[in-house]
Amino acid sequence: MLQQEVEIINKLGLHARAAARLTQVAGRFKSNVWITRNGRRVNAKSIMGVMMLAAARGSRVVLETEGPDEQEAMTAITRLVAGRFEEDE
Amino acid sequence: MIGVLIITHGTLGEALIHCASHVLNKRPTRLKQIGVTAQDDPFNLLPQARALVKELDDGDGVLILSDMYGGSPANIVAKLLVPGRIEGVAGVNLPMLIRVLTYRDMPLQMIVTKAVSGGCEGVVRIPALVVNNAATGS
Repeated sequence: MLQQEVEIINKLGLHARAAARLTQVAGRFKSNVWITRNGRRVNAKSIMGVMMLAAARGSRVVLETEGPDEQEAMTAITRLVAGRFEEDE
Repeated sequence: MIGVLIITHGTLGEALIHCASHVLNKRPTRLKQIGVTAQDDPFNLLPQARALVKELDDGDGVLILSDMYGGSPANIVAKLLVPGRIEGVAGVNLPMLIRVLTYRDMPLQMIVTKAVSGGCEGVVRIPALVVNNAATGS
């Protein structure tokens, strides 16, 4: 299992479109992907779960991946977060 | 894939589809809506609704979402239902629609459950941010 803390840096945080994008990326992998903020741990493949974190800009979240492609999943998701979900700001 | 039909008062269904398309960054396929206006005799819309259900059903079934149980749009839905093949859920909101569109490759019965849970879980009292909004006046 891999674990990594990342900061949400895009202007709008994990809002609906960003959450949708994150779940789409996480859903491409066989591994389980979890995301935790303030003690609330949700399935990163569930858009509702991710949105319920209400993670605004500046929030720190912990990503966990576990499975056959956990490294690839972690790389793809951290890249998405660092890349501000490909949003224009 | 489950077909999704939304039957609501006015332009609510149209707006929901618009918002879901924005969130998902694409216009979902097999998703249609009918808006019932004050000028409509709701039951004159039945043939159109039946035609849309038929068009949306690729064999996996159709889920019909409506706004308020007991309202005319939901009463139209009741006339369209065929248990196990065409199911209906009232109380549609954006979280419910998004969840349904996410799980529409699952069997119809499971999507009905997901629709209800998604709709309910989407109703949340919003906690104030840690920053004191009143003090900052913003």
